[in-house]
Amino acid sequence: MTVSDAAGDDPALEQGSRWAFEPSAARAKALDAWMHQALLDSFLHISERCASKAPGVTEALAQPIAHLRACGILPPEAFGTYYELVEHASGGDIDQAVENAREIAACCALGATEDWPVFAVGAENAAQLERAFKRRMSPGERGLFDAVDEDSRATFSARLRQGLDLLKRGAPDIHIEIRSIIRSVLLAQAPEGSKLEFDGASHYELWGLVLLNPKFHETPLAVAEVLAHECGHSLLFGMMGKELLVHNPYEDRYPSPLRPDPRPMDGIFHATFVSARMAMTMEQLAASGILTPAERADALEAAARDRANFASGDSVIRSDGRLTETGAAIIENARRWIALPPVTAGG
Amino acid sequence: MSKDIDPVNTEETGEIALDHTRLLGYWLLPDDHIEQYGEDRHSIRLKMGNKGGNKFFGGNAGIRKVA
Repeated sequence: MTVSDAAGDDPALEQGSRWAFEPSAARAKALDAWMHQALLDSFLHISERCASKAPGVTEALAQPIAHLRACGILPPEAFGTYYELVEHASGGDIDQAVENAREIAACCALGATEDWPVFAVGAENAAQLERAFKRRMSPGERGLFDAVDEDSRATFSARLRQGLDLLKRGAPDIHIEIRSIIRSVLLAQAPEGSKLEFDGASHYELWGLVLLNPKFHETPLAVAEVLAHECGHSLLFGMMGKELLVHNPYEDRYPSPLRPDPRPMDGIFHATFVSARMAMTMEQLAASGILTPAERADALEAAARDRANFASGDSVIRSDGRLTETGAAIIENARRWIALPPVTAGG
Repeated sequence: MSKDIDPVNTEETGEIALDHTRLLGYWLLPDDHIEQYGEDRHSIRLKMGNKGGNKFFGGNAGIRKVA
């Protein structure tokens, strides 16, 4: 059995369900379980292969294997360090591979909490997460994620909870989906004088992590929108567990609806999909009756912008995208939702 | 044996022969080169999920603003 076949029996992940556009708590929880099962299967394979030539790896992996077998969860830094482990072991750097396996084992002590942990780059309690994250970035990208002070972290953390509360009351399915997939928030910002800034980021290799820039997202509504955006990326990461989204070569670049720099088709696909998810979130909130008139107007304006971004990105996908079966099914479901009349009554 | 398969002696390199098809986060891409490891050739390494020098997908998909 390959990793692609593992943990695929959950009814919430049957082909049609796995690729559905509408939020689903059952699907989100099943995707999270699938990722953890796939990580367990990967650890078992690495452990077996290392037994004679790198017994230190096998020994250190015993704890996370037992932890995952007992349905324990692991934080994003464990997923990120796993990729380091794969590279060091297959590259022959056994000492580093053993260190990676020990780092993963140490993650077993970090249990899930009801509250969302909100960490800041530069803080002592985020050191392992920051290290795992930055090791997986190129030097240029790494430079965009600089330290955030404690005051900024605490202030943004309060706003984040307001945004989550808004989603809980106005878009409950999306709220559950976000809470099922995202386990940790890491705050960062670009250093002074940087030409590029980010306002949110996600990384395939750090399952369960969302990065946010506290300089942006100044209202609970804006927080709700960026959470829908970033969770949309994570959702795609889970959806493509078995197959990539596009066949286009990574080196080929296309205009992006959301970013000033040309992007690979994989990035265009992501931007287009998350635009539709953002529109859905804003329209659900607008129709929920919980927003003030001013917030409702902002939500509808954001939704219109998100829909325009979807149309822009989708035109690039239609003209140049070479989609896999997975990619074609996902974007077709998004197109079907976009084609429906917006439901924005209420408020 | 396919012409794409390139046996590697891992005893000399110290590398651990991992079958990437059994690992989370690696996909076979159309241009991937297959290397076969070990004397028994039971394990393979596929250069998957490694695009353009950046070893991740969509990793910076959320970076979208110019300061």
